[in-house]
Amino acid sequence: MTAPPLAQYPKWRDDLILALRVKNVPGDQIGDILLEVESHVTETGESPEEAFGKAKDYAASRVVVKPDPPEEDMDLVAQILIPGIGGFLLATGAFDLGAGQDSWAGWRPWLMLIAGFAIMVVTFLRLPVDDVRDPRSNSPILGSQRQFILIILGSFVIAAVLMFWLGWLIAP
Amino acid sequence: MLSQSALAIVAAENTTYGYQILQRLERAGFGKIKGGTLYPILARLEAEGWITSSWGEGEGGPGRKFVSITDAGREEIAHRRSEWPGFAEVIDNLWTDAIKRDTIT
Repeated sequence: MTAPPLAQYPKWRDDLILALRVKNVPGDQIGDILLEVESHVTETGESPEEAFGKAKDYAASRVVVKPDPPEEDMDLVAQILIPGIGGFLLATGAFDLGAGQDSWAGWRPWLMLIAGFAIMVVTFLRLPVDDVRDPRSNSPILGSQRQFILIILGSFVIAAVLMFWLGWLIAP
Repeated sequence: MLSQSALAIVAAENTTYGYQILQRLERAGFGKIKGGTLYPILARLEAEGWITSSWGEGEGGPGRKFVSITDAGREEIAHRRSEWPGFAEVIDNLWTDAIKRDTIT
């Protein structure tokens, strides 16, 4: 079975998705736009760039939805600060645990590790899910956003293991 | 002009799809219109409530996005059609004025 035409132009497709995401176009609309392009290039035999021009320019022409209002500054601070605190607790707790150090600022290393990981899990699970969806089946086109979040959390576990190992290496 | 023509084609066909609209526009004398020009127009027509869309089977591939005229779309066409003679007269007067001033032949 030959690949669908748009799959032969992954860069154009990915550039379009990114440009639409940046403009806050909802995931289901992105899926609809992608499928329009796929359908059209299948009919005409053109490349997406021949039929639709540069992906970024085409994305700009498709913004008919009002973007979300700009977030409050405090929301933005919280979105950066809270995961930052969680990452710090995770890394420091893992390092101190590996180094065999008793506590940091009165915190037990294992408590910092658990608190840090809990903050990261809650932060990422609270992110709004806005998958790019196929309008025909409503199933995610690019893989579920939740799967992506789980991969990110998995990488935090790996980072914690590395910090533990580093603490163990450096320990006197 | 292009969006009005696309809307008229959808009304004439009752249900059609993007590539078919492009072919009709080309036969009508608009030349070769690109998908990147047409689909944003169709999206705006749908946002205005003048057409609706749904995905259906095509001749192979991912299927086709079919568009249909709505009652509001038919009213919009009737409204534009009633305004057309006045609009054409305004343009003709402007061209006649430009000819008189010898700025165009």
